[in-house]
Amino acid sequence: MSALWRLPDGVASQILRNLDGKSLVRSGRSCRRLRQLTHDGGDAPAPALSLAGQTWKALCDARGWRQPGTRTRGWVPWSRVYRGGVCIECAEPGGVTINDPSNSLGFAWGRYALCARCIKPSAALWRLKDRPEIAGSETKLNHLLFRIATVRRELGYAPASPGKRKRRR
Amino acid sequence: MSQEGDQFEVEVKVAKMSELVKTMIPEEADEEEEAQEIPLPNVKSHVLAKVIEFCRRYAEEPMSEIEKPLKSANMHEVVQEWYANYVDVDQELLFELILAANYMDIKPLLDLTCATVASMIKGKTPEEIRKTFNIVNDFTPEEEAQVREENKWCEEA
Repeated sequence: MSALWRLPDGVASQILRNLDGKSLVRSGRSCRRLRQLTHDGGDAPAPALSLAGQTWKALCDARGWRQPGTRTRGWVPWSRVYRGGVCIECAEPGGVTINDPSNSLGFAWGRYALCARCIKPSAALWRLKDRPEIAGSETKLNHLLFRIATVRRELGYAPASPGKRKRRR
Repeated sequence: MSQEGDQFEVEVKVAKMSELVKTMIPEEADEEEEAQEIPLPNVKSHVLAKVIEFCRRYAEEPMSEIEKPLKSANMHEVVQEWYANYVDVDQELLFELILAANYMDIKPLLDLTCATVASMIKGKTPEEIRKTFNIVNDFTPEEEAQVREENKWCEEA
């Protein structure tokens, strides 16, 4: 039997609190116990936060990401807050958040982020088409890519290729 | 005194790093007081020896704060050389140390050992994690599919 099993939940949770979101999710896919310690899907608002909820909250706190609503209205599990903050291409945190006030693409809370690497024009962004918000729609994908290209330009990045520049005009 | 009854002599200052031991030593105890015996029936000798090694070092050169989430899966890039070498032990002892640190309430040691286990998880696939820790996959195929579906957002296609 795994030595991990001998640890009480609180201690196992303390181990998990050293991990980033991706590693947390992966550990939760290894077995039921780790799943239970990393899954906060059905969580009630604090102070009844589960160990999993506390772990995700700590990750969000470290990034300064807050709940979109109040404790009684619009409160979501902290893992979702985290998910809403990470790069839509590679799920790494950090980088640039793009606001979409009209929210035509339906990203959570009308915004989405790209990490420092994926915001660069050299990043291929080939996973975006599989996003549930895009759902294979070419129109939506083009809309998203256009918006990203605009933001890249605003940030002072040179366009990746002349072909893209032509399309923008 | 360990589980096996072995005695370890430790300076008060070092012993007090354990919050548990601290509560067993009278307030006014200092270096001049005569030796006092503290039973630690839950800790085995070889583990206690290793714990004391940590406390002694910590009293000389405190460990730097471990940044969360871990920046690297290599402990040498997370803490000072000595501490990284200190936790370079087999899994059995590592988990014993975690339990001892938890029981004796030594926060920096618990931080270090927990971070070490986390470093062994970081960047691994679920299958690699199972292998590393000898974990049995106890999901039903349906559950596994559901969990995978839920976590699509952060998995490579």
